Amino acid sequence: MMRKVLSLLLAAAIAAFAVSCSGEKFEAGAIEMEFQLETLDIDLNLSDNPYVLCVINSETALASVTMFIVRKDGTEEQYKDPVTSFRKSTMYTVHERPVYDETMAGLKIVAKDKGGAVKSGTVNFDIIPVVTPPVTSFRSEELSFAEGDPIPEFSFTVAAKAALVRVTVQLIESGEIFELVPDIVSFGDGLSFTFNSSDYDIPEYNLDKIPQAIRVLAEDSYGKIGIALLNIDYKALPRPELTVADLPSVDEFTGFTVSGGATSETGIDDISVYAVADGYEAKVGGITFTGEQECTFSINIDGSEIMEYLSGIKVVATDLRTKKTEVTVPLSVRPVFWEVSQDDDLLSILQAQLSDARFRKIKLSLAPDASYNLGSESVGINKSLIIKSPEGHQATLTSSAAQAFITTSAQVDTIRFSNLHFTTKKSGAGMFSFKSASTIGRVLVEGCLVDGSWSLPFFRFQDGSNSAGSLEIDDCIIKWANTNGGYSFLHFATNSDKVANLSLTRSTVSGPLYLCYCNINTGTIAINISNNTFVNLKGSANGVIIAIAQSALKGAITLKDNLYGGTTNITGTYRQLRANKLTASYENNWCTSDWKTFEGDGVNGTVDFISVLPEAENTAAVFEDLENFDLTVKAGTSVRTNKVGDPRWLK
Amino acid sequence: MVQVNKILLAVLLAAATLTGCEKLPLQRTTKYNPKPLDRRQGVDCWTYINGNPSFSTMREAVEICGMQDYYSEDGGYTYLLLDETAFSSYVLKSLGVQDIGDAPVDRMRDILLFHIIKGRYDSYNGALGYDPVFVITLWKNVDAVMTVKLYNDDSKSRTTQDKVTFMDQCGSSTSFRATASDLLMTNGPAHILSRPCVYKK
Repeated sequence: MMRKVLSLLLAAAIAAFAVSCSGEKFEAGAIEMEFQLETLDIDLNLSDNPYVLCVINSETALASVTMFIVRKDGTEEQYKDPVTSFRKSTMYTVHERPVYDETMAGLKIVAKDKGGAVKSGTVNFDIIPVVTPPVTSFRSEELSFAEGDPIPEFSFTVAAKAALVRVTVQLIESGEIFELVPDIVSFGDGLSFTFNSSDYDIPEYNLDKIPQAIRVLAEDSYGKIGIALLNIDYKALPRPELTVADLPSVDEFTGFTVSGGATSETGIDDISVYAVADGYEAKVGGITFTGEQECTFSINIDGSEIMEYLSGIKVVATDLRTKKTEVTVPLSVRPVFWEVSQDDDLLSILQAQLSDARFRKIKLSLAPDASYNLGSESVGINKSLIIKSPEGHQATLTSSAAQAFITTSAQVDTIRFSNLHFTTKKSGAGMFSFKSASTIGRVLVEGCLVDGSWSLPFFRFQDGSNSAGSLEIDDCIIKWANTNGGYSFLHFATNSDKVANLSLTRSTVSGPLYLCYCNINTGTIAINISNNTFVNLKGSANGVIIAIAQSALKGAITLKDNLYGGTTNITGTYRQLRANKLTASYENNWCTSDWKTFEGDGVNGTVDFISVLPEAENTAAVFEDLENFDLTVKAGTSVRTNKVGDPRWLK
Repeated sequence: MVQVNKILLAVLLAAATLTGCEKLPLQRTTKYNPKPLDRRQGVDCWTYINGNPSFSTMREAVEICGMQDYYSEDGGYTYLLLDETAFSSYVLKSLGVQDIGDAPVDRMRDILLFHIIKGRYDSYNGALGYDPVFVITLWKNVDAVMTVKLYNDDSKSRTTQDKVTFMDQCGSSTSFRATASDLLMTNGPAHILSRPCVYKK
């Protein structure tokens, strides 16, 4: 019996143990719900509104946490699925930020534990709805005014839902924005503002532009900007009407009259006259008026402003509102030489015109048989220079410069000396020196007598990178006093120089030994030495009369109908022509039978282009009177028959 | 027979002892997790502050703000104690003063309230995991946002494993670990911070 009882007790105990350890059993406990804040301020105009934060503590393990959005109309809608899984069964934190809107009143949280206890709590929302931008209302529907009149008084009011922070008042003119008043940043009650333009210093608008509207920008504390426009009815005034009479052709430096008429609703203020050319404009005359609506004008233009390069006359009519109308009429100006009398200071005139921008080209006509002193310095030119005197009545220009008579390192289109007598008092001077990358169009020395102590080159390039289109000597008598060695009569020493054409024609040259030295090694050159008489070439060194030193220079050299004669003290070894890679063509070049020259040929690519006259035709037999520089070729000589040398001596 | 009865009696007694037992807690890891043997301080938080020179400035701040009761009574809080470094390098500068006596009282009070958390959060009571949890502090303000978690150290040394970490994934706030954590005061756990918690959106 006892055993049975004990067995039953044992079985019951085991069963009770099994039951107690196999299933969960909860009792409802206390649930605490703590919100960070009871009410959340939600501003729908902001993007970073706060989260709902709630900490739930439960004595008994939590079963679920469910959230509900509570609407202002009292309805509730579940927000997200209920939370049923918890890292710690007795604790849970709600951290949520629903998409807030104006209909929300709050967020309700319901927590249930596994014992069946329920706890709910609600955080309220104090919602600030979305505000509209500030609204601007103008007192008038439109502003109306005429060109030149000030902007009429205008006013507006601004009404805002949030505090105003800035009001900007602008003028829109020709599509551009012009600030009328500094930004307004101080407001009474903050939500409204009244503006009256009479309380501000409104600036003048730009008369060259068309006022289109007044624009007001009003900004609130949320950064919302309301924009309003007040249209402007603007009456622009017409420009003046202008007519100008055609102009006749005029001589350079000659005055003339510009006439015409103008009309303007506003009234004419002035008429101005400008001389114009390509890239050039200068006021040359004008007349003022006192607001006449209709006027005529006749304006005299001084001749000192009228240069050959002018292309027209521009007339500008300005009205009292500074509106302008311009008319340009063509002008034809005939070039005229500046007359220089015997008593004029030629050097001063030359220097004044060199520095005067009105003179793009200097054209001087010297008095017949006059004498002028050009000082002891080289004359540096920067523009075209043309000097002449009457044929047969050469004016004499004397230079005491130690170096060249004319120098330049600029861009010069033309240098032309006609029928002049150049002489120098300084031993060792030269004629032309082109320096430092000068650019020359054409140099022409024609019909001139050149004598004195010249010994530097007639044409000389210095310092490299000079270029010339054409260098020409024609119909001149040149008495040179050259030294031995050193420089040639025509001297181009630097590789980087360029000459397209070089010619010495119908001239008489005495003195220099070396006629031409050319060290240019790029490009192409054409050399023409023809119909010249060369006498008394001097020298004692070795060399070549005409030397083309560089094989890279291409082109041609023509030597034709030249006569060489006179005495010489040639003692060295020298040759006639080194053409190098130039194509040399020569014919009818002769020397008197007693002219000492020639020491071999073929050396260094040299050629002999001068033939020797018969024995009987020596210097004395050919020239009439060499000692007195009468180089007339005597009749009966083959020189005359063959027409060799400077034509002036064959007449 | 008597022997069997004794055995049965022993079994009955054992069964009775075990009856009605609660579900046994699961063993979470087989890894040995060393912890200090006893983190209990045996005093309330205010007494602890008063007795530790590392909190002399905090003590002065609490007295100025009249908040001694918060630190002495049991409100079910977790205390974040700001040491001298926290005050000298951060708090005083943020208040624009050099001496705690010159600090604006209302702002100082808000800082202290923000560093008292409602509820008990320490490494032992399971309230903290490796994911940050948002907690509510005594400072009633929309910027009173704080997270707390345990740090999961991936390094080989794992010297900072399970360190209590604040402000992680909390807006753009600077996250940092407690200088010392889990000091169990008689009125709640406390963690020592060398910089204050500051919420940045």
